[in-house]
Amino acid sequence: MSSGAAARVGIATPGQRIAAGAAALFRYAVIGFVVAISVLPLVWVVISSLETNAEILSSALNLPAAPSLKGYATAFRFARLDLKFVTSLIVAVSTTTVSLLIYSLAAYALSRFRFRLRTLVFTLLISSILIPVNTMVQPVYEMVLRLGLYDTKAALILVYTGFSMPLCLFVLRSYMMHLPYEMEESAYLEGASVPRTFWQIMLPLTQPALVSSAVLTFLGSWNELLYALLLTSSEHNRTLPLAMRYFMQQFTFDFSAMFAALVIYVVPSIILYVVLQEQIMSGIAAGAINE
Amino acid sequence: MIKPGRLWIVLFLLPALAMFLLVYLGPLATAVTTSFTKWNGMQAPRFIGLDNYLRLAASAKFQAAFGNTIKWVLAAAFIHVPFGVLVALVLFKRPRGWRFTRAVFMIPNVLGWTALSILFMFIYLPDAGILNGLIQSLGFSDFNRNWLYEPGSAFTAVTLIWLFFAAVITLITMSELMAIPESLADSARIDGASPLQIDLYINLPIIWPIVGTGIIIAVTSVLKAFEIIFLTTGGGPGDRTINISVIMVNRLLNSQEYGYANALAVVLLLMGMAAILLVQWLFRLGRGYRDQ
Repeated sequence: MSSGAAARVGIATPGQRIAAGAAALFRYAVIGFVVAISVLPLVWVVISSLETNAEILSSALNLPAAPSLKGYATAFRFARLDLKFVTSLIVAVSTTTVSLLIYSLAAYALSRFRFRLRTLVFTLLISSILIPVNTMVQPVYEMVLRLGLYDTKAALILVYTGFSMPLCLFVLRSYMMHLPYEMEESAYLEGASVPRTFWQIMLPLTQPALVSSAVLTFLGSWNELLYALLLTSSEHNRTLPLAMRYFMQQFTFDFSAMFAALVIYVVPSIILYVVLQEQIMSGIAAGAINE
Repeated sequence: MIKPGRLWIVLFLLPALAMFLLVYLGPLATAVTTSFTKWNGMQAPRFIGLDNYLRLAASAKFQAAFGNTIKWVLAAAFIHVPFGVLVALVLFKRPRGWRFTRAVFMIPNVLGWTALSILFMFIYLPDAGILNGLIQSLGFSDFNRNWLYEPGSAFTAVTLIWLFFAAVITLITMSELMAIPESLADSARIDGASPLQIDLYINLPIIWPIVGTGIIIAVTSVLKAFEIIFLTTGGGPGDRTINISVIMVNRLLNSQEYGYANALAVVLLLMGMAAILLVQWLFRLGRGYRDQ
């Protein structure tokens, strides 16, 4: 590309051509490195999960002689990953649903309603991004105990919904602010109520931002470990990240099961990413820049 | 803009405000106030002034955690973020495969810290890991290292779990680069500027503020790192990979020293605020060209 630029200007000295060649080489070295560190470890884990223990131990680089799903069977049967999978799914889906509802209402008010404390309320709510969630571990644990929610999925849903606030609010509000006002205006002129206009006109228009917020909230909940560790104790309320930790401590002798467990855990995230790649990227970019 | 009845304003905002009080403001207030008390969750908190803070400042574990955190913050600012920006500058020139590269670079971020930590634990496994396997296949057949548990390599091994996964930085930098009018680079090219010169003297100064934002994102994320330590080394060997969050959680789980744990939380919060203010101040200084 740089040599093309030089040709357009019409002066490509040998020195410039060497420089352009070196630049191209450097570019592909960077690209090769990025692709390698992002993809190869996962490929290796997937391949190893299909090997027997003996094969994994004999060499880290070989291919399975006969791909076996024994590791997956062990992971499901003995670590009850199926149970944890369902728990994680319930928590993540509920968190996402509640978050979208609560924060799209707030985002609508903060982007469309004219009232005196608007800027203050927005600043207050969005300031939550400045608080590292780790710093509230003990008080949140205390609060959950006091609400009688210790060791319930509801506790995790409540806390994760709170944690998704800055991202959802920011993504939804800024999207709504860029939407034209005409359609709502005519709805209001025809006498539609505020909730009805919000539900039937605004929400459908906000769909791309809703999808971005939803998938990032889902992933956040799916991957959370610290609060799940402190707020749950019984088998049927523990989520996948905890199961992964337990697994790594208990099954240290069974490598194919360990590798299979990791694959089981990441498959939903990978599927979501493949399907909703654009929404995830735009959500992350929008959510990141708000600071 | 509409001016709805007060009822609607309240109803639309109430759930979010309640959430803010319950999950942020309330807990934060509890953390700050109880950090000045001795409290085990059973008896009522007893005010002890700055005792917790003095105790933690004097503890060798905290000092190790503080030192590690500073090293990680520097690594985030001077390696992680520049790498992300470099990848953005490369992909922005749209070489073949740039879309694919951008897409796969995001995968480790999508997997989350738990999966990434476990993935690297596998890579570092002494007998079954691919790192030792690769080194052995290069001819060093006796090579065997327990990367996460040997004092000489633990810190580096933990750092490498996140150091180069800078897709978020790349993403925001690229969207900023794409907003630069192409005429700028075109006229520089006609004046004989090389691509490197265009990057260094035109693109980089324009995207400088987003580099500041990237540093804030990376540094705050390093400060709240937990899983990548807790799941891999647990802070060891010795205190070589410990950080403040890990000490805090260990205190909560093992000894119910809630006041002390919350003092650690407050220190973490203050470090985050200080980092944000410092970076903003530094990058405001370099931002002058936009005001001209």
